[in-house]
Amino acid sequence: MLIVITGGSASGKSAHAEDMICRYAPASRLYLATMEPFGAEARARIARHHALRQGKGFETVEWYRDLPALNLGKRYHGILLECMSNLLANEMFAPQGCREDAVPGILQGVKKLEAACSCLVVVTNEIFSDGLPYPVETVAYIDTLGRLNTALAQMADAVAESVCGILVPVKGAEYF
Amino acid sequence: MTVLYIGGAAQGKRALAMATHSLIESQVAQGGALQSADELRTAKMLDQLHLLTRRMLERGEQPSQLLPWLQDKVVVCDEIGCGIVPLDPFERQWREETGRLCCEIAKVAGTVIRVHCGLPQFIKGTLP
Repeated sequence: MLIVITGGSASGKSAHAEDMICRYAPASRLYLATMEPFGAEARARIARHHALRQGKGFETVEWYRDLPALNLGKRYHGILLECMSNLLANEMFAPQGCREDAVPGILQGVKKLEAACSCLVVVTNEIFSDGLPYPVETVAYIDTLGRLNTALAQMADAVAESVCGILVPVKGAEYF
Repeated sequence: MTVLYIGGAAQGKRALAMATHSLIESQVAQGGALQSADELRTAKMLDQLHLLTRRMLERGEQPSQLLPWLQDKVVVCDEIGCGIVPLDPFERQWREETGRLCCEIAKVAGTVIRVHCGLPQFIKGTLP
């Protein structure tokens, strides 16, 4: 089962993603963190997410790029991947990233994760609506994340957007 | 009962909220122009919450302290978190604090209405 949770920044995506895992994965939960702990703000964000997960029985694996190369070595009931926008940024902007179209590799990695658990929840971001002009690299990133989200939503059993902490289903409403 | 209207810029949130709750201009406080706590206290509706949070952050104040002030009001806020995460730390903080405050308002609100093209989508509760 694949569930995609999307939303703008500070819209309550993570809490909903964790709720989904807690609902569909009775035990053995893995948190797959894609944000690299660069700088105080990233560390504070990671600490906030860590506090949210506290007591919910998550193992944590940090994995920043090349998703298909990840070998978990065991099955889980639930895997929470947070988040797609960081994973893609790491692929497109970090020196070790794959640079060229990252979409096929990421989708292959997602399929592999889906096969390694009963319930995979992927968190992604809505970054598409500020209408500001951006440099060509950023435009490519917006475009690629949009294509990635579209492909993920097509594969997914259920998709919902978090708005002010309220889950608004857009596919497979019965899962929520 | 608190009612929250949320949506992108220029979606007709203010007009929809005023018509829905039969409000007149003098009952509406503007987040971008509000001059005193008293203005907010006596208003039935706060428009442009996102501009008020921005002004508060510019003055070094915590937007989360607004929460009790908004009880039983109609609150209107632009959705500002659906763009590229800005490079400027203040711009990031504004989106973060406004987003978290909206989550808190939505939690206590009886009704949350998302507005697209002037049309309401009830994402929490209903209106009598």
